[in-house]
Amino acid sequence: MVRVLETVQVSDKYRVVITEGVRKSVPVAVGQEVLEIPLGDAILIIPLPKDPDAVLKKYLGDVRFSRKARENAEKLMMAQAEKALQ
Amino acid sequence: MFLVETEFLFGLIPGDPWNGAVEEALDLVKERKVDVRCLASGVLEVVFVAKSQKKEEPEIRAGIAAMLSKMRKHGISIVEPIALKDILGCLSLQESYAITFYDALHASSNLNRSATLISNDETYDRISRLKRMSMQGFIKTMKM
Repeated sequence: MVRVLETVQVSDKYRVVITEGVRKSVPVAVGQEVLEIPLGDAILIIPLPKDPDAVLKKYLGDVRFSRKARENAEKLMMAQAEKALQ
Repeated sequence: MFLVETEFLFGLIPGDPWNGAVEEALDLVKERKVDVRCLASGVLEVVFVAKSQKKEEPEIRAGIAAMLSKMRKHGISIVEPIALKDILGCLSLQESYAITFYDALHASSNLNRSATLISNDETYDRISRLKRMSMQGFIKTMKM
């Protein structure tokens, strides 16, 4: 995958252009809502899907949540924490 | 104030066993303008549940964006962050009640905000002072 590194300027009303290069990697349509999250000294922009149900079905449709799933999630989190400490 | 956790988030997915109830609850939240907020601890658990079921980061990120988008469209636009008091409370609850990390973290976040947790999980009833309402109970209350 080609990594795009582009520079843009913040214009009036703090507008920022999402360049063509970036749009090729992350498709964004005019009028589409995006989520902006401050991340330390950076800003993360996540395009919000127009059809959330379709996205949920596509990416997480086969994930099942239960008490067992909660226990497995906890085990995985603890394993990752232990790995980070090694 | 009402809070929702992981069960509600997965219930947003078409095909999930709780999807019908969650969709009905979402419509009522929008119609009645009820103060319902999402716990960030629930979003954190979504990440680890999905990872434990072999989902990759981009899939999980897209899924969470879709969950937030769907909730936002129905008036649930505040995500309650995990505060230090929630983490410390979580440890105390784990010690006192021998419950899982996520049970304790969601419960602690709920207690610290004096809110009512919308959940069908009766494990929460073991925790004194915690207010819980089942999904159907919430729907019934909102319809009254």
